[in-house]
Amino acid sequence: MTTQPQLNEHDLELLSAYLDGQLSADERRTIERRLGDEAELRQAYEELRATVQALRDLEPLRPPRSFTLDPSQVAAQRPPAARLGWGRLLQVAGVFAGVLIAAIGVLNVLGSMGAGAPSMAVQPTAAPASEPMLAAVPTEPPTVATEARESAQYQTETATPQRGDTAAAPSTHDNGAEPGAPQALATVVVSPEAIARPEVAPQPTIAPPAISSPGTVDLAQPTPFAEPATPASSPDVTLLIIVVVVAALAGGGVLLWRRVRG
Amino acid sequence: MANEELRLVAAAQRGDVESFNALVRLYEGRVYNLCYRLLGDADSAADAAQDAFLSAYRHLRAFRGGSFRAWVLRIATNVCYDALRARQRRPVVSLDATGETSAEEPSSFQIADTAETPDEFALRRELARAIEAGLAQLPVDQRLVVVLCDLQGLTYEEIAEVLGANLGTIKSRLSRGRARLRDLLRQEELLPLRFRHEGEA
Repeated sequence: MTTQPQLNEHDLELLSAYLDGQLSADERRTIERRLGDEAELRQAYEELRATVQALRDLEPLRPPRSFTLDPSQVAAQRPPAARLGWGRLLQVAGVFAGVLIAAIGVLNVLGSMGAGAPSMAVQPTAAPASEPMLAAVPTEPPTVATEARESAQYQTETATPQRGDTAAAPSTHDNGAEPGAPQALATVVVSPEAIARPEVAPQPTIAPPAISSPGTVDLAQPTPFAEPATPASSPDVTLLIIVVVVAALAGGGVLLWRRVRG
Repeated sequence: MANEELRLVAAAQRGDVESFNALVRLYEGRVYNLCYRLLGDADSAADAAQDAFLSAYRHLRAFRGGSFRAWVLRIATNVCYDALRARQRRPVVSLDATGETSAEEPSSFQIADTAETPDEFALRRELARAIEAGLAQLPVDQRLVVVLCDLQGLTYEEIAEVLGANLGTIKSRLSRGRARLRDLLRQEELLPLRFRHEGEA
């Protein structure tokens, strides 16, 4: 074994970068001058160059098989990029609608317990006030506008029995549009039927039109049922609605976040 | 070339699997070789390469331009790091793997077309064996940079993209990896004699 010069790390790094043509003009001139003067450095350079040459000479290995993907196998795994926007938005809108309907159902019961059924009689003047607030919830301005118009149009009618259908609409549509959304489906299905329907039905007065219609309209469900116009007249009920809306937003946000991540 | 690649990527992003497969054919050799050098055996490398392409397909929309090659190699690198971590948790020493390596060599190693003396051929072959063994002994982060630079011919900038590291880190890892390999070749007296004589003179 010969006694070999041990260059410091900085010089080695210079030589290594010099081999790859990665030095600045100044650095290159300096190192070339030193290579002429210093035998140790020159030897280190030659050895390094031989080492790199040996690496470059290594034959690449041939892959044992091809790694192309089988289209039929892959098709179900990932929806193409283009579907990200609307598919996801529809899911989330559906979930929003479900959560809101459920929340309003509960609210309705609470309200009726406090005020008594008779006081919940329809008060058309209050409806416009509560609508914009709820309509502002979804993230899609155009749909919201349409929806607001629709509910304004139909709000004169009271159609409690249809509410179950309306609520169920998002889930069926979701199912068709987005096969990969079992969670959203479950949420939407459960909330309206388990909570909204039984509890809301006896109380024809409360306000789902603005709430359920985002789901309905977003999902291109043109059924124009009319929802009862709704008046949440007392201030603490309004406050409660705000709280519920915020909670629903938070829930929807978390859901969206998990989906996007997953 | 670059345009064709962009077209394939765009088509694949729209869900065209055949376009994606065209990209796979372009890069499967590189990806497999990288996985092989990082994992050390053919089976693990093939599994990792397959996982890498599947993962690339699933996350295709996350690709926002730049070097597709670097992007794919980055995914492959991550797959290999995961495999190495899993191995550390549950170490299974594969004796077959080392046997496989040497068994594969002859097929990929042929006498060069130029007039090469048997001695030169023997030396070259010995050098290849030693450098492969040396590579396998390098710390993974150094090995990765050496493979990307000297075996795959990537630029420093591309390597930085693959690793998500800065150029200073790349230069330093590359230099240390090469120096270590040089030390190994020296120990086996495989570096050309004249250099050693020159040093002694």
